Amino acid sequence: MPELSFVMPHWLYWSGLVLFPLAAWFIVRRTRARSGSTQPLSMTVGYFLLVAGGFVGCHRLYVKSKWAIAFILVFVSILFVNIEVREARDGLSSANNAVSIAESKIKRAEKNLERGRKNAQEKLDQALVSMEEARAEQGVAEAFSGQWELYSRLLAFTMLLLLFIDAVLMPRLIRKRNSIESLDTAEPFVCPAHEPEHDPSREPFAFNRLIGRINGFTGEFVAYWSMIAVFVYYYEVIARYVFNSPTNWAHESMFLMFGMQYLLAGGYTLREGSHVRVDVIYTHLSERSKAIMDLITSVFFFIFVITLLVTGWIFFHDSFAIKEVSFTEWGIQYYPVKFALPLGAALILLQGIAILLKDIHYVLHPPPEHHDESEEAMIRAGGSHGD
Amino acid sequence: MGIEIDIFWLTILMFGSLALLLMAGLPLSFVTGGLACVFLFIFGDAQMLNILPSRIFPLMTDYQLSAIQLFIFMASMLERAGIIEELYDMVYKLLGGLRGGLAISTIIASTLLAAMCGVIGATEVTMGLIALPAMVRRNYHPTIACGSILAGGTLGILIPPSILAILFAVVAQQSVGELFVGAVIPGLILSGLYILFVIVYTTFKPEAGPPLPVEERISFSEKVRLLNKMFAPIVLVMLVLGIIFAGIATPVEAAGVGTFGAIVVAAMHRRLSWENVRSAAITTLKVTGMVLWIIFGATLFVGFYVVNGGQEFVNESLNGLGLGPYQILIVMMIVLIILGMFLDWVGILLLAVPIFVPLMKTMQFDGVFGLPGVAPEDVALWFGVVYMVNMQMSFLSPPFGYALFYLKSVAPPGITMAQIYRSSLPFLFLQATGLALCIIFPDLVLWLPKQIYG
Repeated sequence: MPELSFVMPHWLYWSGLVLFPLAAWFIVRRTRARSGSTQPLSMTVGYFLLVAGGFVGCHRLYVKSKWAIAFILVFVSILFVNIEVREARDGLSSANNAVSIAESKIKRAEKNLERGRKNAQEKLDQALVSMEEARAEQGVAEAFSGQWELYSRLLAFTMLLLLFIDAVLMPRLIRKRNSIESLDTAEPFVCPAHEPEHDPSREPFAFNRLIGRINGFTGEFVAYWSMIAVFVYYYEVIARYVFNSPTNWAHESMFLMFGMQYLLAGGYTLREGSHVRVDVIYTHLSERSKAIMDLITSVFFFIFVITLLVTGWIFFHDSFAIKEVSFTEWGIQYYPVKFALPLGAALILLQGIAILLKDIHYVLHPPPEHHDESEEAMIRAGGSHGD
Repeated sequence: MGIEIDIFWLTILMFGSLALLLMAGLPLSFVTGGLACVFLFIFGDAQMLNILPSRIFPLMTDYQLSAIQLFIFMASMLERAGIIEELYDMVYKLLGGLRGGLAISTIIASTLLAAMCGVIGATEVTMGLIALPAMVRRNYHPTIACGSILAGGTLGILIPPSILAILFAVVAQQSVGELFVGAVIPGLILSGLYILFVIVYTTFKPEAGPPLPVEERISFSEKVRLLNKMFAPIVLVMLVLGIIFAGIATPVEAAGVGTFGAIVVAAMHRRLSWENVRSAAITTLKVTGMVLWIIFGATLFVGFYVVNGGQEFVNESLNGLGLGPYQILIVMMIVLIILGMFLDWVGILLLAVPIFVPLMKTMQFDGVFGLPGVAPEDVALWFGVVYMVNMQMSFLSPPFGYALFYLKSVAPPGITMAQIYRSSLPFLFLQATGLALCIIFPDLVLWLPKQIYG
């Protein structure tokens, strides 16, 4: 197997973090505008699975074909051969080591011989013998390693060939499966646990709607980062186990990305009311009393968030002043990650102000009370605890 | 301002104001964060506030925490693929012919689902939507019908991949893999206890759980076809857990691969669409956003308490009671159960574990009733699993257990809250039995990790 030496360039990392969510955002909006396709299988998904997971037969699983097993078998043998290749390589390098040790022994013995020390001839003979042994071992190790390398190349070639054939066959496979499945008239599936999303029409002021929209966009934007992680970890595992070449950037890039995500998600989570509260007394209050309670307790919210904003900004600023990078081999810039602290605090602060305004509005102009227990229970289950 | 205060009064002040603000309905993350800022300012100075970002930033760069995100994404993707419904459908058609078969299938399906998700909400709600009406329609006794859903659903936080285990591992500096492995046997024992209860109950009261009428049962070949359909998700789960247990990849990498697998499974079930991916990502974001902000706030709060000698204070006052290690453990369990009635599990974890675990590590557990005890190096792992079983109990305990409210929110109109409360009681008792078993026979927890990790 060839080695993968790809190191994610910093510019690609940062631009990927910006561009991927934007692209996903646009695609989601576009597919919403179009009416859904009636075919159960799609060509795009087929080719996506071929490219991303074809070597374990994901695309064949998709079209429910038994040939998936062939892919899996080839893949598993690649994994096993790789273990042998790794061991053979270790054997070869220790054999090479033995040879170079023997070489240096010979050199030393030859020098000693020139200087006319006693025992020198004996030592030279010994060294020559061990040299011969080492050479022989090296030869065996080379042959062994060469053999496993050959197997691994053959397997890789088989896999590529299979993938190529399937890339050509894909349209036919999908068409065939579609003609079978569209005959089944199973009722369409609707996911039952679909939580209602934020409803801007219940917001009293334009400011609230604006903040709601900003946080809604930020939330969706950073939510798509999870998808990047799926592919990066997947790449890391494949690179390590199939190509024997672990990356030095996958883990770091992902936990930093998640770190930024946690912070930036704060405002969105607040907008959706997903922050857990203790509802021993709170839920039994009337809507108006809840709003009054919220107004009182929000003091502590603002203390926390404003402190975080100010100290987070200082923290970021110190880091930015020295253009801090991480201590790892990859050496990614740290200050954008630290910038997530004040930015996340600002987003949640804005959302908090919007909620404060709404609560004030609510206290001053209470809407007519309507009590719907089942709806309330739904909101409690869906909202207070997420999923 | 730098005011000096005795640790006893500080404890009362801190936890009193915590309780007060929580009761007033401010979300936990802001209560702890806000109070931490106030206390830092009053008992320290303005300069001390700079501790905020330097406490939060290490959490942002924590490698293990990424596993939470990925496992939740995997579970929501599988949920969007309709796995929960199909799994229940499969199990109940397989076992419907038995007495109490629907309840048994609910528990088995929940156990399998618990191996896919690390939180309890989704299983509880979806099972309430599909299994509860099915059981009510067939005249199952409410205790069996609701109880099996309640108890089965809570297995999600115990059986790996459990989010609670990941968080515990991060807070207590343990290995995630070991905690996952340690929770397997207790999880299966509990699941077995639930099933046993249903069998015994329906044997003595056959009308409480009638089997499916013969004409609704399916043939053997049909059963094989059904198994075939659930093949992919079950293989996926075994793969993910297998590579963690075998130590081939870290839990984080396994979660990444698992999420990719979940996307493939969704495609195989013809439910891979941009809309589903988007809603799975957003659900994930809401849960992680909620969890992480609680962690941020609670770390500051507990950090302040520990720095000011809270740890020693708790140790001394517990030791001052003159109790043995097992009695202290029981006191802790009771405290956790009481906390569990009011607080969310993330909050309990963050508030209690940093104080309890160091104390546990200083104690000797030599076994009870002449049984073998726990080696000092295993105490943290053992306590972790015992703690998880306990937390599972807190989800079930009336009046404020979360599982009860999840179920009520989706239950058919005929089911009252009182019925749900009553149905949780026998299962709570089973849960307590499971907890006692884990404490008395620590090998139930420690044996499997020893076999795997040596």
